[in-house]
Amino acid sequence: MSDSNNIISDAEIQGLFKQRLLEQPMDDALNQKLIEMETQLAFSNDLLLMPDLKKEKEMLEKLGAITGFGPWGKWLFTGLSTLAVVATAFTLLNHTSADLQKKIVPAPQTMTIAENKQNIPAAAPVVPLSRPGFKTHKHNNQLPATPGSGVAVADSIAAEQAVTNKKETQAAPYFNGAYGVEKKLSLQAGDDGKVAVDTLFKGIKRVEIDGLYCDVNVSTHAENNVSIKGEMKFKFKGVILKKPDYIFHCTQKDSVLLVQLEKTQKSSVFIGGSISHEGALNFVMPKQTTLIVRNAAGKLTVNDLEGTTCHLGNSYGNIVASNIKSKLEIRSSSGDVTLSHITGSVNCKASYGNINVREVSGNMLIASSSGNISISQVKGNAGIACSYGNIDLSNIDGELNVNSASGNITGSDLNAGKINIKSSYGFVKFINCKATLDVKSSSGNISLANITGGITVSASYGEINLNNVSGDALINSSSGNIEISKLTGKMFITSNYGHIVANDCVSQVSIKSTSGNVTGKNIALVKDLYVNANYGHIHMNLKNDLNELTFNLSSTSGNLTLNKGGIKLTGKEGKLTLQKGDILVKAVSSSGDQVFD
Amino acid sequence: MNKSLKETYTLKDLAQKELIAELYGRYGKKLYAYAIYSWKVDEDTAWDLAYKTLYKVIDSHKKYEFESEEKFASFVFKIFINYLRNNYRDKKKLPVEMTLSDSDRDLLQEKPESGREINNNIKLAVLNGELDKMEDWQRMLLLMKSEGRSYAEIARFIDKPEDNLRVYYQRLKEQITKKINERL
Repeated sequence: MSDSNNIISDAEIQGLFKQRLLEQPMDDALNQKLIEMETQLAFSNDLLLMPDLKKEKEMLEKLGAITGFGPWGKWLFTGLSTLAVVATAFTLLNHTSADLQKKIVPAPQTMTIAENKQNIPAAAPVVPLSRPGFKTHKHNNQLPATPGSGVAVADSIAAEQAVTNKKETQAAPYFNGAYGVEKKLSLQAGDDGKVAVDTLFKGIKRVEIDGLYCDVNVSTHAENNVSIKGEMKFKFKGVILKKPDYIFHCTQKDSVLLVQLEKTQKSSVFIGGSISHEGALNFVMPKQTTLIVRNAAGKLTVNDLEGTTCHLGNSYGNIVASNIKSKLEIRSSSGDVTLSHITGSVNCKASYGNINVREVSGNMLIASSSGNISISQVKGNAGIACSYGNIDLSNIDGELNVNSASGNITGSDLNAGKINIKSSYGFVKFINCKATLDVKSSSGNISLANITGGITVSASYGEINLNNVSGDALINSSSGNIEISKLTGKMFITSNYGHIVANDCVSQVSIKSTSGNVTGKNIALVKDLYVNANYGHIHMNLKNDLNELTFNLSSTSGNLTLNKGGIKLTGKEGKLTLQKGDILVKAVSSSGDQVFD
Repeated sequence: MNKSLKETYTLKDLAQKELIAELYGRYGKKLYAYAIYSWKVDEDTAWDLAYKTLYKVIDSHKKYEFESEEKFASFVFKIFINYLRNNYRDKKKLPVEMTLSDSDRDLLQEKPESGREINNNIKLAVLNGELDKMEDWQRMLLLMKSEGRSYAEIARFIDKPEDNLRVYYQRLKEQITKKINERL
């Protein structure tokens, strides 16, 4: 509507609707009505656009992979069966007889160790051990165990077993620099989809784990080796024309161990088929090891590490870390994050899932898109950003910065020197804080109690309640009542709409109110009082002796009354003055009455 | 109660396989289409929103009881709207990276409203006020017509003669325009 005389356009109305839905609180009554309507429109029988089948496939595969299930059901079957038949025909036409033979004869599980020595430093050998679940395995160029190391020599029975199919694998694509020693262990999943691992590596200072689909447990020991034990199992269901193959790689390059899972079949064809995974790999390593994990799915648990850096990433699954004395970095796409007893800094970013942190001695940064955040017992500074979800803070000693788009923020027992809060939607509630608080809120009530330190509040909508505050209070509010009790310090308030009530305060007072009553009870003034209320009554009950005070009251159309110390005065021609002491009481109103007693 | 209603609120009894297929068929692709058509988001964003919504529904629906299809659909849609709001805010202003030294300055910065923003806020305030006064069918008419839907389509949702909808819509727009002009 560029010209105010023109009628508002459809596009403008639509834009305003959308803006309202996006920016107003979800629990707003009108927004709920609109959401109900939009729900009807979105889920009406008419499909406005037909999704791309390829995109559908990707989404369902993704959902299936996460939930341990990958089929897309009968609703998609008709459409995809045609595609699958074509794909099958194409696949068969392009296969050589050798390819087909490979397809028909299941690939045996193989294990390969390769070594390239170049100026060998003191690195330990790779010593794989036999495990149930291996169909066959082969040690190639196997090194003997380090004498006196206590490490078992490779299992002789397994070594004697026939090898039906050797599989040489390429080194994982990490580190292009030169390395003194390179060792590789590769395990291919058998027909049962299982990869069983039982091996150890010596002389490792850094472990990188990449793309595993299983639980990963990391713990420490006093020995100078990294042991890996456990099983990963892939379960295949339904019809899968091109079944994916998985190879588990462990590659040692000098003191770095890379553990990763390779999917050799890049384009699998599923018809009503699915892949799920289960199992766990247990890593035990020296405390000082640097750990980098980028897991694909499964729970990740890490304990007792003291390396330079501990980076824990997980796409789908929870992350639990405790007793970490390192710089800790967490990246989680989906899943809860639980951290405890962290000595060092924490940098945690999570998309979906709750974050629970306690006992951190260093600085901390937490960023979350969705999910609740709970933080307690932090000695360092904390910065927290959260789009959706509640934030609960307790026992934080450092500086605190919180930025929340939506969700409640609660805090207790905070000894932070400075607390900055920004909240768009949701209430803010802090209790027992020794800090300077700066709260900015768009919408939502603010409640601050038992605060030692100054308070600055800027709020657009919502009630503000301060109780038992030692320090100055600066409040700027657009709308909403303000109630202050037991404040010792300056009280500077600017309010557009809403009543202001102050009780039992020892203060210097400056209040500017556009609309709404201003009421004070048991106010002991230590310095001047200024009240400016355009539309609204002023009633101040002052504890000071009359002889301490000088009154200068004026009103355009309201009544003025002073009833204190046995004196009762009323205003004349909109003015009332009385000069006694050094503390000035000045009040101005347009239409509201004024009473001072 | 028809068959589909029963199926919907007993979703939690379905196996995971059937659940995903059911949810995608009922809600996933419709949300994708709705996001593109009504919210003008790009295809990738629409897929992302639909995916996140389904994931969240699958992850959390067992925690709740739903007495009807409408309640369940409302649950799904609210999750979708939450992600949509998230996406909107992410793109609009939320910092991707946060540092301790910068965050408080960012938080405390107040950007003065431009004249255009003020006008827009007034229009929004007027629309809010007028919507509050309207009946449900009037809101629905305004919402659907502003999205470019035909009166025939709108008539399926509103129990009013199709021929009269054009007049009703025009009156509603005039009413809103008048209020905005009074405030500007």
